[in-house]
Amino acid sequence: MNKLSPAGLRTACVAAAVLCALVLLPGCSKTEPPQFRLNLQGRNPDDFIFASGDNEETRASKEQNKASLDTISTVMYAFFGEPNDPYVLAETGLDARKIQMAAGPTGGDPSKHQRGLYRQHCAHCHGISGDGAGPTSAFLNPYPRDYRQGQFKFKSTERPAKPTTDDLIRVLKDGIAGTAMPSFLLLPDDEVEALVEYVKYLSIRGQVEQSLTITLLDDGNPLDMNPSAIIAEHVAPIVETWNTAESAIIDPPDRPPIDTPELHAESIAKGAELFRGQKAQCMKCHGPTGLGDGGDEQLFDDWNKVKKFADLAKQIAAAEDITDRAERRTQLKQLYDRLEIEKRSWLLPPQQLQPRNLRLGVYRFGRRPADLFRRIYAGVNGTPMPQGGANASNPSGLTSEEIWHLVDYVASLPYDKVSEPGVGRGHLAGIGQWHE
Amino acid sequence: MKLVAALRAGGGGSAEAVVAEATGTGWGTLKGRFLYAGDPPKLGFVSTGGKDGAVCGAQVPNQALVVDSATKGIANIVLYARKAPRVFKPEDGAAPAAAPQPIFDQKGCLFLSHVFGIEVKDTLEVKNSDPISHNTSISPPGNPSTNPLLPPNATSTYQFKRQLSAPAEVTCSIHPWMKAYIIARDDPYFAVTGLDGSFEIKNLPAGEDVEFQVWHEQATTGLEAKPGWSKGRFKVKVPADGVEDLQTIEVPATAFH
Ligand code: HEC
Ligand code: HEC
Repeated sequence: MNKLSPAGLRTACVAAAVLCALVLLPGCSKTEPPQFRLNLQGRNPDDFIFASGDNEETRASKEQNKASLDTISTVMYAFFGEPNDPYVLAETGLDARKIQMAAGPTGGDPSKHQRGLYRQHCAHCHGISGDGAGPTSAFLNPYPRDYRQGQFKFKSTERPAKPTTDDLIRVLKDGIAGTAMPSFLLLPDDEVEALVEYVKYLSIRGQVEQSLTITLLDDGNPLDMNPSAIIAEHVAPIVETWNTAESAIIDPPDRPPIDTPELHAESIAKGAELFRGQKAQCMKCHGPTGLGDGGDEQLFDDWNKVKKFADLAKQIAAAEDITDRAERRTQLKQLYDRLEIEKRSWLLPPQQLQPRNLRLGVYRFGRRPADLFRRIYAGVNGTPMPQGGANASNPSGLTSEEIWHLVDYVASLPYDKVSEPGVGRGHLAGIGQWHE
Repeated sequence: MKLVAALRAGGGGSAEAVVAEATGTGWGTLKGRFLYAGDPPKLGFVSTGGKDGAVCGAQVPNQALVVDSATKGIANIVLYARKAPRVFKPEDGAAPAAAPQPIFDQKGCLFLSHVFGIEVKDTLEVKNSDPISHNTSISPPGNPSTNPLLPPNATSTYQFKRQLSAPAEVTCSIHPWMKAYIIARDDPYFAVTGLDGSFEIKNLPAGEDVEFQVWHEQATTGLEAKPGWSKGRFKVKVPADGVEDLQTIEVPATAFH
């Protein structure tokens, strides 16, 4: 009876995966089939590792954390399976056939069915678990998307809504201009669809895991192991957001006419004024001429702003100025210890986000007027680029007419004289006044 | 493996959940006051770099640790019940005066409440009382992410979907020094200390242990205000129709980082 049950084995693998993630054991898990990595990002790794100096209370709390991790991995395994053997929970509404095509090791299975598309095309950037931390990720800026928060930037829907299936297909076919995300236009449609289904699977999986982690680790509540209760509380609300995406598509209203050069020029001029004005504030980030040089502060997207490196760096700088030597030393030691923990709790260091240089004419989700309308209306989800347009929850936002003027202005920027080489910024009539 | 099979079959695994059992009846109050032990730190300032200087000024107060120099009261400490065995309903007694709709305002390029508490069921109203636009970025774990452009005098709304286990950041992407925190809870058992360091939480379930979490911006893993308050947590029983007064709690400087 010394054989491990599959469930026990599973727990052992997870424990190994946690250790890999936490202490980076060299060579760890090379021989094991790949596992989904538990999402412990942002947590202090020391809360899960037993140390000789632990007192009784710390030990008890670590035991509890460990028990919670066991519960989470059991539920995750039951509901989602593992990379080589995915399980498709009926309540997710996912298409098991498509998931099978995308999952597993690269190459066909013995019966020659297509398998392993995700690992062949995506995993080296987006990671086996969809955590955006594949082996190539550290060299890229921006990083590949971590799907597990369920947040997407480039889509046709209202800001908080999920992308539609067509949006994801478009991202795969077009790639994301100006980033490492390549185009998969040459893949047959059924393979693209299978990959899109797998992105949803990883994203739903990631959000369910996050939800369980909040309940068990953060709220410290036990989990009611009744499957329908878990599904109702931790799965259904997430699946619902995917099911309602289609109804959240932004439908740009008719635009004011620009069919004569005069009308067009007028609209561009109005857009330029709005761009620099107090209401729209575009200039504050994109700069007076749209070069993306408006602010000197560091911007981060939601995936990176949770990493507190920059805050700690500021606090360290402030602590350097403390005059009392002993006090300075204790403060600095504390801060450097916290920075060390912060570094160990993330898979990738924080990456800054630049406001887009709008004079390059490179857009990450399309250059058609309707694309730009949606971008300015909803902003870029998960980033400082705000939701500009008025809607039910923010009735005083930009009107559709104002957005259309901004669209015309933004679309004109790549062809504007200031974009030509050799013309210094701020020397053109009408633009100089925006520079100090 | 049995458990996995049961979970997949939808057949009930054993419900191991132990819901905190309600034992008492009646309701009581918890109050107390946090004071800074030692010389209170002076209020610092953050430079605005002259951005929107006419409205924001050259600098704004740094609200990370606000200690009243006269009383030594510590503001912006948050207390919230980790789990309430019972929650007061209007029919349980004289209903407290209806609380006004919570409004989260900003003026002079500062959030007027540096730390703000709200019940999940309530709608957060985010207001801009400045003559320039702001944007208000909120993206707490497990909740929708939002970042609306807020023109002068605009009000936008935000609905939390689930309670937070710790206060979440609110920021303005245009004015990066603007930062505040919001805690959203399923029940009304939370409070934020005022300038004099005091707090009061009413209508708590009397006669049973309620565990509280104490949080401060400079003690994000829990404010260990007193020995025994490991991770900033303590348990307390309030008397029915009475007040449990924690009196004055002198917080050592080392509790903040
Ligand atoms: C060479 C690295 C690389 C590869 C390979 C790659 N991606 Fe990406 N992917 C990226 C990067 C980088 C981004 C983020 C771009 C950004 O944030 O602007 C991204 C973003 C995405 C997004 C998010 C779009 C959004 O709206 O937020 C999806 C979905 C996606 N990739 C799917 C895939 C799929 C599916 C594959 C495999 C078929 C794949 N990617 C292969 C680098 C890659
Ligand atoms: C708080 C800073 C901020 C403000 C204000 C702002 N932006 Fe942006 N904008 C950004 C950032 C950051 C990005 C890049 C987001 C990303 O790709 O992750 C961006 C991206 C864009 C894009 C590129 C979208 C694409 O498809 O690649 C456009 C167009 C744009 N902004 C227009 C505007 C306009 C018009 C306004 C005024 C209504 C505005 N922005 C206000 C920060 C800002």
